[in-house]
Amino acid sequence: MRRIKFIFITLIGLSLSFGQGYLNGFGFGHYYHNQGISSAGNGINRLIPSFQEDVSLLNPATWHNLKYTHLSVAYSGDENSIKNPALFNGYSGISNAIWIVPIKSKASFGLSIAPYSDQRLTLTDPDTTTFYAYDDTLSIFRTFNQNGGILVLKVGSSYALRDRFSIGGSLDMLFGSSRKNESIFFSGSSIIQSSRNRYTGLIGNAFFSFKIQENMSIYGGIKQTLQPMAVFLTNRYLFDDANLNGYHDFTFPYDFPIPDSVDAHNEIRLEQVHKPKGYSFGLQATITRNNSIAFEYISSLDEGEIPSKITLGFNDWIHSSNHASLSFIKFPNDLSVNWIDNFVFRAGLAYKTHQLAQSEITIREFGSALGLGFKFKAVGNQIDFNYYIGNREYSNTFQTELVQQIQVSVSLADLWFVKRRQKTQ
Amino acid sequence: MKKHSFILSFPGIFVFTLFFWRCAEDPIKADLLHFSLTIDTLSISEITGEPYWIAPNLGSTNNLYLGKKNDLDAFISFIGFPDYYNWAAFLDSNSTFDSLHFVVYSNDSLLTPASTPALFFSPDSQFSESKSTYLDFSEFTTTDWVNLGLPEIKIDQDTSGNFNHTELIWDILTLFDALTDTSDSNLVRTFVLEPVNDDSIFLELFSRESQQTNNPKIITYFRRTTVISDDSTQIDTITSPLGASGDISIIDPGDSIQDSSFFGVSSGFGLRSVLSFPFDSLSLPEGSLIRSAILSMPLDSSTMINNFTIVIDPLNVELDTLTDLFDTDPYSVIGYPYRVNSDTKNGLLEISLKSYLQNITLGNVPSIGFKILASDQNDPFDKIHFDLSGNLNPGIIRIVYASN
Repeated sequence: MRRIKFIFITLIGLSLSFGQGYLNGFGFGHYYHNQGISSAGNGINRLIPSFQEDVSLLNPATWHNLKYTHLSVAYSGDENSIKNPALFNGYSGISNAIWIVPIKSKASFGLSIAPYSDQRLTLTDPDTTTFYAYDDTLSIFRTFNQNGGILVLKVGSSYALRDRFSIGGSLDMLFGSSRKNESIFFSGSSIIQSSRNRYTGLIGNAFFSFKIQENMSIYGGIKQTLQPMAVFLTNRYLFDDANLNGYHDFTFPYDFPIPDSVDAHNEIRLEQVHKPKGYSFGLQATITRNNSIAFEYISSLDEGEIPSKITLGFNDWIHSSNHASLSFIKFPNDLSVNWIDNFVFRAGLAYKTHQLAQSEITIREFGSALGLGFKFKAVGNQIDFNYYIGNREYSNTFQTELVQQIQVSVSLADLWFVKRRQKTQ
Repeated sequence: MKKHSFILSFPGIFVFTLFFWRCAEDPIKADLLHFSLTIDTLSISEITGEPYWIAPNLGSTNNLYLGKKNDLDAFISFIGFPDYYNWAAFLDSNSTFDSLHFVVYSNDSLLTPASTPALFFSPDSQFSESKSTYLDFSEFTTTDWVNLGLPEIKIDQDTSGNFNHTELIWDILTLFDALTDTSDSNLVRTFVLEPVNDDSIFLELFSRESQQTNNPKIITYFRRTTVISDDSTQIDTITSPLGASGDISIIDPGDSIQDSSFFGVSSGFGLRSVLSFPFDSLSLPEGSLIRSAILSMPLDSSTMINNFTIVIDPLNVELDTLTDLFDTDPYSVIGYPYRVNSDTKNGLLEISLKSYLQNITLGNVPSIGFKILASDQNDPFDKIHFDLSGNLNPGIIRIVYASN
């Protein structure tokens, strides 16, 4: 009872202090794969199996090792806090939904939908600038607000070429939209430039899984952009937000000019704004029965170029990222009848670096994750919790960010596409 | 076994945490100078004004005028009553008319019979409140009109003895048959006020556009007999005002100077102007938003009048003419919602053209120019001239805009 109370109070504390961080302002926002973990069921790893033994939800080359069809949904709460000045930003939402169908333990097919980047951002300029217009001195206050983001629909598959060697691949279809408001406030109201971005792109991923020895496996993957992401940019006409509601509407006092007197500018297509490529590899060693340690390294490079026509919160974007992690995983003992042995335990350390394209600023993040899962019922349903905490530093004048994330995922397993015998009366 | 509440169970904690998860949005402070949204100004000083004259129409002024002032001659004022009143009802045998008065009101407490106008009536003389000018009445005479003579003057005071208004009252009971003639399908009930001594008087009367209670009217006083039963009859004494439906003062500008070198406005003189300045859809950077666009025009020192209301209305058709004297106004305007007005203040007219200029940049309206005229609410005998080339304070349009 005391333990439950402790967990209860801790979670409330986390819930009240749990977002928007500096990374949301770079390029097309904060890529989800740069924020803590991607799925509670996978912990800090991506390639390395940590959902179940020999299964990683994010590595299609391992999917056929599932015994049953799985539907897994992860919910994530993120918080980014900056110490000085004290800023707390938090948001939460579905972080991953994946459906995997293993086919006779030889192949698999999977669909997943997940956020790819989060662009929620509100920036204010700390300095008020002045502008002299005839006999008036205008005090100008700038703000920037954006929301929306990019989603990714993954279609993946795997095939076991040998008992010890399997391959997998996925096509990542990027889509989504975001809206931005760039405003200058003076003389009692804001002049706002609204714009809308629509995104489309296609990224290909190839993976392999190879069991070197009975207790050691290596995993690898490469990422290549098949169709660089393009942005369809629509700039709205500037408007004077007389009613101060942030929208160009007919609410009294009327915005200027009235909305139906202006047309949006033509949509323009900006190509090759995001063109990622990269590679990854990992090594997993089983140290005792059901216990393993793993090392993983992911490197990615964005060869895209963001033109100046696209307004960015911070005038820069991430050009390259490296991610190394070390983890320990304890899998459930499927043969045990003790419920304690149905728990999955995950712990890990991660070190990430990002390099910005324009300013060449380096962002370093050191983080750790702790996760717990519980496998139940014969088909292997699973509930996973994961907590990530990281410290993010910027090589320039930016403050240090504390990154926290708590994730919950529920995975339901069942036999699909199997013709069941009908009960006889 | 001790029973835990749902909220203290693991599923309870999960649900509670998700429910209370705070989504906070503290703005991040960051240098935003790289943003392209900027403010700038544009000054336009190449403003030109061309005066033109029309025959003045004073159908919607607050006053009726009679007499001469500033070289203008308000030689008659028409007042008309509509056909939609139930005149035939006055012929009811149960009604007995005691009196019928024609009343107009003045704010002048010193009126004497010598300075009052004479009243005339005609059942077939027509005028148009919105169109009639002195050109329509160049040969006008009241010879054939019914002369109702001079009015009785009544000073109205409140209970404390303070002056309210002066009433000019004519007894027109003799016109009862003419006013209630139901056999004449073209009957118009037009009255004319004409100064008796037009060289010495100048008189202002309230028009129907002024205060509702002091508008020109016919007041009927009659008794209505109603038989309630065989031995009981009720007699009501009724006073019923019938307001005028149209009135207008006809002003003859005579030989008043029409000097094209003075650009200005006056409703009595029929003086209007066309304002032009170089501004089109390319004058501002594409996509600009005008925050303010103030036209500032100084008044000529000889016509410094405060609170003189001036109306500016964009032209919608270009007129190619060398003439500056017209019977009716040839310049067609857009009107609502781009018609704007402002009062002169401290020798300056400042008026916002923001909405129209913005729509020029948007390509929604043409950039032809503006008509400037005096509001009907001004004293029509006043005249304003602008001095755009003033050394201290030249005419200018100051535009503050944002662009991206």
